[in-house]
Amino acid sequence: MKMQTAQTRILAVDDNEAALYATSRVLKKAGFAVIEATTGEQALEIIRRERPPVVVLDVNLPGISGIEVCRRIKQDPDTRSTMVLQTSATSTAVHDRVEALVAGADTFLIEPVEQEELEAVVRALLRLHKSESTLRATLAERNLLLREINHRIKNSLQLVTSILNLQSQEFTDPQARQRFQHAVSRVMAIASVHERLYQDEDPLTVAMDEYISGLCAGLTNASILDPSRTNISVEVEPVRLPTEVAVPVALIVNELVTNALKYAQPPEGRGAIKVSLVRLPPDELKLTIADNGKGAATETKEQSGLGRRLVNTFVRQLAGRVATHSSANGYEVVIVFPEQAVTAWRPES
Amino acid sequence: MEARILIVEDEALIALHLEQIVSDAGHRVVGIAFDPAEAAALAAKHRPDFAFVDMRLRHGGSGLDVARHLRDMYGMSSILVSGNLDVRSAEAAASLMPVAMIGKPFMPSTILGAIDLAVRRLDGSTRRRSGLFGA
Repeated sequence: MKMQTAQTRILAVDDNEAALYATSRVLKKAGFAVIEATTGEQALEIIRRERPPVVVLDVNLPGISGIEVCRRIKQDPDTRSTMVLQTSATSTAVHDRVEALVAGADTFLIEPVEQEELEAVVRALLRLHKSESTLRATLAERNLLLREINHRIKNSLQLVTSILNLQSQEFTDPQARQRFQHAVSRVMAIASVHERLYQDEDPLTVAMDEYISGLCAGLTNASILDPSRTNISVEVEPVRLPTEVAVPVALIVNELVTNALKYAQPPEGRGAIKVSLVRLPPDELKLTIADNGKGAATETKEQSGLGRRLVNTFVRQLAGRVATHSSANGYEVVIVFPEQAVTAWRPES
Repeated sequence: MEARILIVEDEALIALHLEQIVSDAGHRVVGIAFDPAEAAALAAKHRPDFAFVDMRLRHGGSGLDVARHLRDMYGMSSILVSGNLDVRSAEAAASLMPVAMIGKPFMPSTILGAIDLAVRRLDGSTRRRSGLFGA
């Protein structure tokens, strides 16, 4: 017992030599290693350097007061885990004690303090300090684990898309190759949602503006058509969606843009595809994919396949509704779905 | 212009995929390195124009160290690829001024864009090529 506590360092801060001596003596007798300071500046420097778990801090100090010292200890992320036992023989009124606690002190004792009480309170603070640092370490470990798992998921998804892309080179039949490319493109749309996750402070939602722009750029470049013949414009409000909503939206965009790239070329001139995602007050989102192609005649035919079934089913998954407009000027698919309230992720919570 | 490219990636499949994209774009892969030591050896031997570097390599190898080595020794720039492209790692990598930082899983088009950028950067500066391996 003695051996263990002998290594624990306690900082005692008091400008009154007699009081400092008394406090030190009690703590040394209890088996602690005591570091002494007589000013607030000195105390702060020792805390930053030595990181004692507990500081016994007098309120009335020359220069910066004990209460200000405490405030600075608790404001600095590097030192805020230090337990502060504020003491005073003179500033003992209720408002003095309250001020100290508000500044961040963990407890307040009025001097003179009985030896047993001082030792017991210091030991209580040490217990708190220990359980707090255990919690902190566990949390840091969990965060690390989460990052690692996330890294693994992304890496594995990369392996999947790499295999599929390598495999697609093996097809000689153009039609089979194109069908296979569709599958690859669908998998990539899902995988790229994960690429976007965890890039900023919020690991649960995806910033749709950046995501859809990236997805469309990818689809245009992967298209078999000459990219310079098609102009794709993306207009997405800065909206964040949870992953489970972002994935179906991504797949819908993937299907409709792929389809537009294939069938929406006007007989002459440049093809133009417009993708937009805007808020529809009060609580809905409107996704539009429009092109200036020949209209629904060819597209409807194509969409009777898997692509159309996928879009319709994803719209149902999103609890949304879909409408198509076809005219001489082109073809437009509009999907409206509810924007679920996204609870913001706060790492501190 | 055909660029000569080094791939530093410890996942065989991803390395092969990158190689495929690079050669489809009309460039040449001079070698695939699985760790920092292989990367240094291949760079010394072939003096590639630039490199794709995975930020996390086998046995705890650091892609950032590889990219730094390539830059300091040969003035080579790198395209960094990572499965953990968050704010923190991006800050760490930014000091190396990579051509691009690409998150996994990547789209082939993103890789193509980065190659384009790297090649344009090469054209802008005087191309340094060893006489032995040039042409």
